[in-house]
Amino acid sequence: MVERARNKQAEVPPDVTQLLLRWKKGDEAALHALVPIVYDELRALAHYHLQSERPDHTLQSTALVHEAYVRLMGGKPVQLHNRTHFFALASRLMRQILVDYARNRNAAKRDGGCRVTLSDAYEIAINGDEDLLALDRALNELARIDERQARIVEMKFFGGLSSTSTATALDLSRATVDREWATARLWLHRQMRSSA
Amino acid sequence: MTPERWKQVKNLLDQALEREATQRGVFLDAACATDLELRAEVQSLLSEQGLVRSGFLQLSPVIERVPAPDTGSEQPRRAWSPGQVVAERFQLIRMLGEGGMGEVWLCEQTAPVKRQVALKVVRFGNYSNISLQRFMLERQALASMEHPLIAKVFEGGTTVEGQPYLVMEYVPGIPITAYCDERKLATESRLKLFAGVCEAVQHAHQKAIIHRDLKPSNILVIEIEGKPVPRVIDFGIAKVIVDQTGDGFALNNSLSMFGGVMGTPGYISPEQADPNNRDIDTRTDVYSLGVILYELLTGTLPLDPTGWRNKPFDEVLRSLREDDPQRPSARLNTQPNTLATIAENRDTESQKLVSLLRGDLDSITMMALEKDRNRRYATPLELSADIQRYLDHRPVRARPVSASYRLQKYVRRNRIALAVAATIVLVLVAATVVSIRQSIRANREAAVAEREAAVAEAVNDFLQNDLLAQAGASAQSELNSKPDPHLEVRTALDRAAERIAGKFAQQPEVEASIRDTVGWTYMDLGLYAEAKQQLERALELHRRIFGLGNTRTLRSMSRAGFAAYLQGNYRDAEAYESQALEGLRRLLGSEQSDTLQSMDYLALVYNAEGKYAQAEPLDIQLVEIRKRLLGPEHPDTLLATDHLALVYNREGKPAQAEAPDVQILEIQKRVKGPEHPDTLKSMSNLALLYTDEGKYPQAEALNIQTLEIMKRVLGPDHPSTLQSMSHLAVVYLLENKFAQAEELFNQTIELQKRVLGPESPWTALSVYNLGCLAARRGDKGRAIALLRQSVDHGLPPRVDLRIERETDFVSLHGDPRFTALLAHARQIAEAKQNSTAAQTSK
Repeated sequence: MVERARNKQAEVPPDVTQLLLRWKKGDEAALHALVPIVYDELRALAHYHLQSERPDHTLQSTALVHEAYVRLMGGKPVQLHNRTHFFALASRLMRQILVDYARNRNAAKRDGGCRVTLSDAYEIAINGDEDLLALDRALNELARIDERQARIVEMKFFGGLSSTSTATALDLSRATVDREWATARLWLHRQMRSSA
Repeated sequence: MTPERWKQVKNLLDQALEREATQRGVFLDAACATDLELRAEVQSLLSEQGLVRSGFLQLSPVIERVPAPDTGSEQPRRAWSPGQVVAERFQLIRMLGEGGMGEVWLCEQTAPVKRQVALKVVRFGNYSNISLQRFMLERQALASMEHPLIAKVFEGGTTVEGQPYLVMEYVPGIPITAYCDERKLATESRLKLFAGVCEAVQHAHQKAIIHRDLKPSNILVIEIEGKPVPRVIDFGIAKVIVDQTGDGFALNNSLSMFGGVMGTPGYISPEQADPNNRDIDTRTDVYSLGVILYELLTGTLPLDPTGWRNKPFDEVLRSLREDDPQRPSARLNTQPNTLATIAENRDTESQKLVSLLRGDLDSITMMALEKDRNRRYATPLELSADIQRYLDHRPVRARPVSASYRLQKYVRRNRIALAVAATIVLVLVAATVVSIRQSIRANREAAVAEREAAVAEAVNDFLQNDLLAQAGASAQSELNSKPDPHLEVRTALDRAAERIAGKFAQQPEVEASIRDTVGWTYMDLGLYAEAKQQLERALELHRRIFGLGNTRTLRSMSRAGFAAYLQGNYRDAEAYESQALEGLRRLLGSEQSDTLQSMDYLALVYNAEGKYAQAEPLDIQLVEIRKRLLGPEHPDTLLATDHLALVYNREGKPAQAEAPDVQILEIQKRVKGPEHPDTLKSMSNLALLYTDEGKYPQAEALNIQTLEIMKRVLGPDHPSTLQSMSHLAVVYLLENKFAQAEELFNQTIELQKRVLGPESPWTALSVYNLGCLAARRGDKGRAIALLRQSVDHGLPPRVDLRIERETDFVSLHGDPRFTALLAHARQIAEAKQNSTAAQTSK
């Protein structure tokens, strides 16, 4: 499916491509519009990938994620090797989008740190923007000493996957994911607190 | 940290987490015997647990707005969006929140004044059927509230599509619980903030508005000049909305809470959780306030709502109605993982917080959370007054005894088993108390001693509140019927009482406390002689330990006096009570709650003794003090006022009784509503008083009014309705309106025979009164026949003996049939009295 996805980049909704370009040029309104669309697609993707192999349904979404990744990360086109790779990328992407969002908003004027409406369908619910930035830094630290553990957190928290889905995607047992998650939470919390 | 080191740490951390908190230290000691640095690292991460909020990393950073459930019957509403103008002058800015019932939007009002307001639009309901008039009336009531802590309701109306909306003051605050945690407010500051909320709710109640949906998200805190100020929002909204649908409140509101994203049903009162109950009064708010208080103190809800969403609806409602919450201090002890955080949020340490809550704050919270609203604080003001007493270090009104009541239903189901268990457990518990006390003496380590003292206290507490009191369960009996001194319960109690002797030779305090409880339990069962005996023993012990000039001794004495009063031993009662009152006045002042309680008892004794001249000034003083301290609408004040009216009436001063009775009625009407059963009772009382005063037209009018409401509210067959009928008939009789009197008497007697039975004293009295009517009309034969019928079928003996003196029957004197009847009545009365005496002595 991956090859087919690459061949069908045209299927990415043009407005999304436009939004990505505009965002890279510094247009914040574009990011505003982008988050719900990308997130929605990621959720749908996760669902289809995990429920059954129905490539036809995933084509457009996979293409979208791929495109988004390329544009956002500014690198050269990546190959989506397998399912795990896809989830890792998607979660990384969500993280990148949200952290950027928080950083931009942080630079702009504050609005009380409460929930901010993104669109009619979604809102970001993070406990103040600094928290998300601190988490991002702590997660980088964690990745340095435990790459797999950091990826679990990324998938569960940013990718919105359940423990079971995360386990399936990474080919681990559910118990392992839960254990890693529990210790990671404590470590991250301490890290975020001490850097605060 | 290196990846290798982290792997080591993670591994140990993982294993430690799988163990019980108490086992972890030992495990780490063993695992890190040589590597203290490793141990410190793991320990540091373990203790991080206490700081992690439960939601940390658990919620997705992006939240979907869940669309409201489609319930089919609801008419879909066109979605609103920012920028849109509603009702010509409200420009929507953004949605502030939504729930099962509707949405709240922040708007810019453009006319007549420019300001930001919160606009609440009702989502559900069949808009085409809405009674706009009713809605406007309701919102007018809401707009009448003027209190600094209540968000104003500006106006209301319906949109062109017919959706009702309310315009309210916009409060840019955060929920009270979140605010307190965020600012790490200590318990005392929390209580002060909460007391303000109570006063605001009280204000609404005085305007006859019940909130019905009090919860932290409806109590927002804003800061004014750096000081926290709570604002209560959404007053009475629930009612406005429910009235639109014309459906029962309880079910609807709960359903909407479940259906929507509005949150947990954890704040609704047991009566709201009863789908069959439509009688919701102001005390429902007292319960919700209790839940909020509980949450402010402990960080948890009294009943754990996790899992409710997956349970059948009925099961959740049942849980809300029947399950008993733990006391706040006990709850904290069951939260080992979060206790440290909870304490930190209250600017204190775990154990300090637990001991702070134990005792008065436990009692206050639990009294607000009583399942039976009659046992709750009657008003929010009463709740805040008790909190104020706590803050002032004065004794609080809430008593821990109420625990017994909560077990009433359980006791009813398991009476025999419990009685046996009670006996066995009492012995065990007694033994435990002894051994704990001894170990305290042996162990000098302060922290341990303190903890164990707390355990001893808890055990004793259990003994007092849960074990023995449930055997008695004051509420075993229905209102107005004599308690059933159930054999098994009584046997258990007797055995328990026997075992006390000698068991506590070294712990006279414990013995006194246990005897006190046993005594009160006997009292609940109506076994006054046994009660008096136990309470006198407790008094004796207290006197020995503390001396006469001690409040505990005096309180004990006052109780012994009350037991003597109930036993009918007025001489002892007066001796105890007057001495107790004098001492309590001297030690605690004349306005302290124990002193007032004792005054109340003594006035009752004087009243029973016929010493009205002494009862009257006591009652007058009591009314005056309670009015001042508790407010004129407090149930205790009303009770004292009622006692005073009774004294006046007995003194033959019905005119003086009238003012207090009128006042009580006026307050009941306002506080409880014009059709509340208590209000109806007060109406009946006043009507009787008018009758006694000879003010027949007033008596007649009031009786007719009462009867009309009773028929509607209580039903045409309700015993109170029947009594009201017979009162009215008596007034007709006294007015010589014979035809009306006779018709009503006949109607009443027929109903009484069916509902209360042909042998009921009430039925007999009606027949007797009908006899009076016949005599007044000159129908001697019929009068005598009716009298005979009443004598033979349930007439109370004191009335049997009154026939001779009844002025209505003067015309019958000399008639041989009447003479025979008198002899017969005397005979019957004697027989009745003998059988009563025989029953009592058994």
